[in-house]
Amino acid sequence: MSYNFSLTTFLKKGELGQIGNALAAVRKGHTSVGIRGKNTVVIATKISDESALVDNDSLEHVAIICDNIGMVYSGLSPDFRVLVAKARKIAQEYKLDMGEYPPATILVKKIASVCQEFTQMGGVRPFGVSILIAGFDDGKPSLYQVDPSGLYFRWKATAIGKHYEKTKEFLERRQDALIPKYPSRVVKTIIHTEETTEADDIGTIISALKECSDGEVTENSLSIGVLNFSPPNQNFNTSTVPVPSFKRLSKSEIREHLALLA
Amino acid sequence: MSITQYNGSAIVAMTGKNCVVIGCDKRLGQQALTVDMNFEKVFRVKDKLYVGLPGLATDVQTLHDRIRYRVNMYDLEEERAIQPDNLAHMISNMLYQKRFGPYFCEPIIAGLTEKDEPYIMGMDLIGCLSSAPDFIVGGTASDNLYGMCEALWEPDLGPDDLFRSASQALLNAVDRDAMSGWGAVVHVITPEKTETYHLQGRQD
Repeated sequence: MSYNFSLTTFLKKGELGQIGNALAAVRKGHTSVGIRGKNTVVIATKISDESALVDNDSLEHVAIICDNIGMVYSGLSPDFRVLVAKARKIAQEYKLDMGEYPPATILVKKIASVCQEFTQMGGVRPFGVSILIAGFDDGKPSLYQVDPSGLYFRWKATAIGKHYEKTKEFLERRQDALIPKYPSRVVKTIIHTEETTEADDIGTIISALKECSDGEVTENSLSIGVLNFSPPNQNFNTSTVPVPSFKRLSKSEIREHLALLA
Repeated sequence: MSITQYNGSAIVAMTGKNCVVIGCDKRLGQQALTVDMNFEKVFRVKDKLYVGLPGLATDVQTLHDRIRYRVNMYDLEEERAIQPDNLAHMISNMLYQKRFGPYFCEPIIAGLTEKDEPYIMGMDLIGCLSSAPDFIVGGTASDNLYGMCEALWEPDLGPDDLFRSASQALLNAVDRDAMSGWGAVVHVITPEKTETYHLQGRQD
């Protein structure tokens, strides 16, 4: 007699019920947004303020995976922690083997296959998170989404979690008609996300979260990560060429961006 | 006698201006007895990336197989050409994994990077990397090769001059080494193409 220990089994209609449930958990999670720029990727999330007594500083919403990769999630934070730990291990093992951190594609494929395993392995449930991964491929920025099923996509800009549809519509509108803040540019020019600056993208993300998510948007309720090239000979970078770096914005930096939009 | 000297070998890699060469002798022996006169020890990894494996012939073949396996998997997974520095790290790890029962082989990597910059790297049999701006030598004739390369190498040689220097270094080094020789193969790697030359050496 053999037993089936997998919790994720097919329904009669050909769907995996647990995957649907995991996606429902994702849709309940706080909204996360990502935008790919010309030389940058910005990812951010709106931290839910369930209680004013919670110290938001203790939560890690935007995680640094390695020098050139960062990620953010919507869904269950404990599940995200597990994925972050696995992602960091994958990145470090890759570096040990190849002498450099993995390109985003490689890390995404490996994380996605971890997610897939958790839909088929016995005795486990799928991860209750969708994640956005910011990284570089071949020197060009990429933004990926990985779902609980192990499905992954590459986006120019996207949103996950609560109100994701509304937020994506907002981003679509912005993509076609983002008017540059700089007066030197011709206002009529249609600016696609690929041509915007890092500040533009951060602005768009904050506006999207302001417009589409619940609750007030302040430096305490936002977590933003930026992937870009840090210039040579800065931040302990001894290289003579710009190297990719992923950083979380400090509260004062977020405050500055909020002030620009006000 | 060390086991690394059982079959005999001589390998040299040299850098030039936007080019590299890597060459080896063709002898396979069992100590003083010559078994084969067409045993090459430099292998193509990619069009602009070669690896030389001086040392015990059985390990040369096994390592070549394992490198080919890893590089083929890399090609499929990453859908891009492996770079010389990544290959060096990969081989170095492969060797260190057998730290206490090593492959008796000291690989030499030669190729052009993505930006067509010359790259050469050597390592010992447990994978300790050693880089040099000019040349890297290995095998039973390595002492002779050091001497020849010190005398013949100049900075910024073009492909033709570099080929001549490396070939002369190799042929003259193996003539003073009983364990290697019997002709040589030299690969000249330039951004446009890689050319392979088979050299006739002393057949004794």
